[in-house]
Amino acid sequence: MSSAPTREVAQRVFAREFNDSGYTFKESDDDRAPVYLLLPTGERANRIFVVGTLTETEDVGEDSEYWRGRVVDPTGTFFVYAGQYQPEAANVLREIETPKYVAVVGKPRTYETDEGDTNVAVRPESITIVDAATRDRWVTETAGRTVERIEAAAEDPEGINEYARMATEQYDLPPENYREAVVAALEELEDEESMDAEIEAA
Amino acid sequence: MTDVRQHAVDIHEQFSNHLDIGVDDVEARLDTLVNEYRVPADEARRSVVSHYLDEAGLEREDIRGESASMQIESIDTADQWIDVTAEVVQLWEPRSESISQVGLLGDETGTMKFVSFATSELPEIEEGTTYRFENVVTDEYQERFSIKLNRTTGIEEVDEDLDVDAPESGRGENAQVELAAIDTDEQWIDVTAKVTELWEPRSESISQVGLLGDQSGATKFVSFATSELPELDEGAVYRLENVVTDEYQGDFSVKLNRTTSIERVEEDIEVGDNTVEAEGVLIDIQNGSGLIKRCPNDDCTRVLQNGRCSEHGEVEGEFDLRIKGVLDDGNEVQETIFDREATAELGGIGLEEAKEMAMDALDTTVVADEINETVLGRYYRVSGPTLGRYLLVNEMAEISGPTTDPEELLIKARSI
Repeated sequence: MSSAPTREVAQRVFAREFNDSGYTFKESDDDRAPVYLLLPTGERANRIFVVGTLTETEDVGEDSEYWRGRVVDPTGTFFVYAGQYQPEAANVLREIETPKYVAVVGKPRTYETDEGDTNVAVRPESITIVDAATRDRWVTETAGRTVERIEAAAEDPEGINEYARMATEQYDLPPENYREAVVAALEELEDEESMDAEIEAA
Repeated sequence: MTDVRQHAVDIHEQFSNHLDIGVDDVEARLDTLVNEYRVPADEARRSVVSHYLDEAGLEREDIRGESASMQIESIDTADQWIDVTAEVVQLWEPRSESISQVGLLGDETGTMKFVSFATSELPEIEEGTTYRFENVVTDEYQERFSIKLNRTTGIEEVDEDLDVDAPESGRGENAQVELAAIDTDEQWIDVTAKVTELWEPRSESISQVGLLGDQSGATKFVSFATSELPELDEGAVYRLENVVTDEYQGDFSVKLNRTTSIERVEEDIEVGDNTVEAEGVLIDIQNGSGLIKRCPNDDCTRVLQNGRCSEHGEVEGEFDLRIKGVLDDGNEVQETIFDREATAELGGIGLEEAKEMAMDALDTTVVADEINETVLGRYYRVSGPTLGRYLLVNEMAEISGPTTDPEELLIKARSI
């Protein structure tokens, strides 16, 4: 008998890796089949979860409102676009005073730039304001998940995992590249902590 | 002929006695939905049929569908008009006066729940007899399919002994299942469990009702008077072969029946609870969350959709609070339900306050919106028993700060 379509898990990915991704694919011919973004570390993402700093919002729409938000993590910037079909998220971007820590749940969307490059952005399902501790949790969680993907890719040179194989075929982006992003993100977190400690000691 | 044209011809046929419409009109309507608005063909067909029903002042059951003869196993769509030849495997106690009969139908391919409504005024059918049912409608509730009889249904006794793929043939081949692992409706299983509680039956048709427990947890059981089974003693452990699972509102139970064999086992069972823990980001709050209304009928409490109960129709609902939330840890998702108390703890809004908010805004959705703002995108650790695919939250805590020691993770990242 029929079973409910399983809900797509939200991948944890840093901006550096997300913005390097440009290849999308479907796993069936059905019009409504989910679209996946291929991550260079060898995973598919139909949904992502991001916590970062919303630094800037701007209405970039011509005829109707179309809000763009820049959400920054330790490795780069996520571009989040919300228009009339994402009214709640567009409301948040319209009303919010930046900068704020925000949690964004959304779908990856790719688009072509005028120069013919493929860019990737986030179409938000929800945007909520969170605190710094939630953001720190996301950074360590995303670092952990990214390390797991890099390790899995390193232990699988034959490309047994189909997404790892797809990544080597589609991208010239070795998963080890993102080790640096993880290290940078964690170092930043450590610096913050030691700075907090210094402030308290002072 | 295109699919759209074929659907148009079918619909035109259905209404040929009621409305003076052309196939082209029907096709144009379908075409707009399917090709312009990208509505799936089935949904578009439904919508166009609704339009013509309105126009003709008819109810859905007034028009004869193109009912195809089907076997139970192949039923996988709701709102289909079909014919079925099946044996009445079991009759259950109706939960509401609006239902005249409810139970299980079975054929060679499987068994399925059926319902016959009082308003349809159909002749009563009997347990153990095989019938040909013409013009019944398939229905779906929480991904379980069932068969609805209606006033256009033709029922004819068939002198045929079906080899029903259920109790008799399944005997001895059932899976031995732990109570907490029951997650499917209408499965024939064997369990070994202790009768932990016996309750007062609410109806004469029920001989015993209570709770069974094993290491994994506890589950309600019912034994019907017509099954003429020996009585179970509270505190005793039994091996029960050939019981059937039932689902109601995400709550699973087991039903004993006339084919169930009961054997007392001389061992004690430590009854466990099926509490599980989950953590992750609260990534989505689903429809039917916030301030909701429930059916006021005893034993029903279904959540109303637009003021309607799927079992009792339009009713004066009773307000309640709940959240259906999805926890996501990046590797898997866990669906959760927060009841009134848990919702108040999570969202910081109690039922009275929620009602006031809705009253001020003249809109009940403000409650869910407000809760969304305070909980979405935060990390939680929750625990409670599982029911089907849901975790019913009893305990919760927001968690924040690093998941693991960043220093350790840093050393690991540098060493890859």
